[in-house]
Amino acid sequence: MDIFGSLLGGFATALSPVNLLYAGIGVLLGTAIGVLPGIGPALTISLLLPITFSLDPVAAFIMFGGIYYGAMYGGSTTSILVNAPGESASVVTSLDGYQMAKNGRAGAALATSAIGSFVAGTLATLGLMIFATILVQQAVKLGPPEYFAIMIVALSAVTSLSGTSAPKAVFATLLGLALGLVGLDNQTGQLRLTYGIDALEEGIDVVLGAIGLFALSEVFWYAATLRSQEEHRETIRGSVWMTMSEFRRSVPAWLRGSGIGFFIGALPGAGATVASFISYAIEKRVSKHKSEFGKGAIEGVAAPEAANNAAAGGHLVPLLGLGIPGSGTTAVMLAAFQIYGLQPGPLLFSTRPDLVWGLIASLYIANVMLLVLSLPLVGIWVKLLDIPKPLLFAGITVISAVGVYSLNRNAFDLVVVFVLGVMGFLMKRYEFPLAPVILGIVLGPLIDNNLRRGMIMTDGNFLTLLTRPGTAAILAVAVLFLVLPFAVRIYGRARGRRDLATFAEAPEG
Amino acid sequence: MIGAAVIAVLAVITLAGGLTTPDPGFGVVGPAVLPTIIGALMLVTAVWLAVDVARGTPPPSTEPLDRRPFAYSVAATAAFLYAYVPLGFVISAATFLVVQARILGSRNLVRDVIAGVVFIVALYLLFVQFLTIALPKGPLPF
Repeated sequence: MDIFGSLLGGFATALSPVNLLYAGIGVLLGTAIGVLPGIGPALTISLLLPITFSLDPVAAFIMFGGIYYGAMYGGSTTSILVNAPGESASVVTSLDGYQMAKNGRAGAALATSAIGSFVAGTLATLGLMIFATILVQQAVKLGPPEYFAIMIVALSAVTSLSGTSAPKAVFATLLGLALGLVGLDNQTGQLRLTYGIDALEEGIDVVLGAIGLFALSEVFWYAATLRSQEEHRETIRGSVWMTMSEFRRSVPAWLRGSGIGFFIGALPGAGATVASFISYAIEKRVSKHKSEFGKGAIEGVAAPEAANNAAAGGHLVPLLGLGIPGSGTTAVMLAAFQIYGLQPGPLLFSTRPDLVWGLIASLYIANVMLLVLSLPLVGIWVKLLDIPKPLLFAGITVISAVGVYSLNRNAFDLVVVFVLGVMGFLMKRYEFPLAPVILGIVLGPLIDNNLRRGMIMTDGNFLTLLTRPGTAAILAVAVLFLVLPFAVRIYGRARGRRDLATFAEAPEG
Repeated sequence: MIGAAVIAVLAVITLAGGLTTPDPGFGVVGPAVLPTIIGALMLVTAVWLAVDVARGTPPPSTEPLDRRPFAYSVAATAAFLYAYVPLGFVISAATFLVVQARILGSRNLVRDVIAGVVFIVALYLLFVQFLTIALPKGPLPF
């Protein structure tokens, strides 16, 4: 079926009044939770997952489309008005965004971020549609060895782009993989890594990982740093709009940010944070107003905001096209698919076109809704920042418990999530990245499965992985990912280019 | 160094888990292979980190923690999660909200109680009435 016809079908699904309502609820909830400081998109989706349990899959994924873009957008409001942004993908936005707010241009910063998010979101959804369809057509040629190799690329990319310490990032990835393998092996029915604990048979759900590592650890972090909590917030003065010259300066930045964001986001493992860092660096390079950067340059808000929203669209390319998540957020999305017994990838396009295209159409709709709702409602989003922090963090724990228990109605899951919460806190304190753990939990069983099925195809010859042209090429990319950041860092240091060195060290979230 | 030691312990646990997984003998690569490889690689990262530290990589800046609120909130969370099913959502969550808010520095008990009640009622209505997802009841009839 051609893209256009499928998309029309998708819109027919997504535009039904009930589904529009779900998309709207998704956008509002996603933005509302995303605005709260300390809550990134992966956690937003994990916390909101239980809400979709009682919906049919199509409605649930239409809502997810809204939550996904809403959560991405919500973070930017925080990063402009509060000096300590909630998520790493918004760190760059806050460099110039918070400065603009201090200069009394919060309205313009919010406007360029909202419109930039719309432009980027729409372009990225368009790109997603085209590239996911191409990928699906090619993916039928891929066997288990190739899937195995692509997952290794995703892991090596997220490992190499996470944090500053290579052994710590590698360990985080391995830990995630090990957690992912806990439980019943679905090929032999053998129990693995359960250490005699019956309750672990079902395995460790990635939602538990996301809630434990991101939500509970964040609460513990807040408690542990109570004395040093200091928040400066700017207010919005004047109208939420841009001047003509600000608009003219924003347009090329939006477009560049969208392009960079989408393609970087589509690479497995390279997240929104990297996309926003790179687009900021490029914007600074090509800008005619270089001296304003860091002091409130509007391009410095427009480009990374467009980039992180476009990256969100890009992330969905490997997820929908191959069923392989490339970021913490899409790992949780994959878990959402799995809850409904669905496996995204080429097969889903042919078996459930209503769902896939409904989701894609709802992404377009969510973007329009965000544009319409975000700026007029910005006053409400800002009010959410007034929730007293002690209540907010206590509330996050309560919602976490409700969500975890509704998942499987298994009290032991609450124990698991607590342990993961403490572990997440310790990892954060000692500067271990957390995103690779989440990705590892999801990819662990998939890697295991594809490796073993691949080995059956080749009668246990590991060398086949290197001699099959497809896998060899893909694994070469994995090696490149592992080596590249070190090379860039060394090059950056050697040439005294701090911008290069720092974005190679960008933390991933 | 302590970090490397902790990693080494986790590595050995994983490795032991992998090595003790019986291979049912069908399939080319058994279920024990990947856990074993992962455990072994973890051991490598432990050594790698130890070497890094020994070569003088600056340790992460560990500012002193606020021990008391941290310890209390971890304890409160553990108690809440433990009591969530037997005591039910309403009792456990309401108690926890007020206690945890206090631990995290709130000094306005009246406000916390009112906010807590509103929050609990809203969450209850959302899940039980709107989404028809049952929450644990505990001894209460709801």
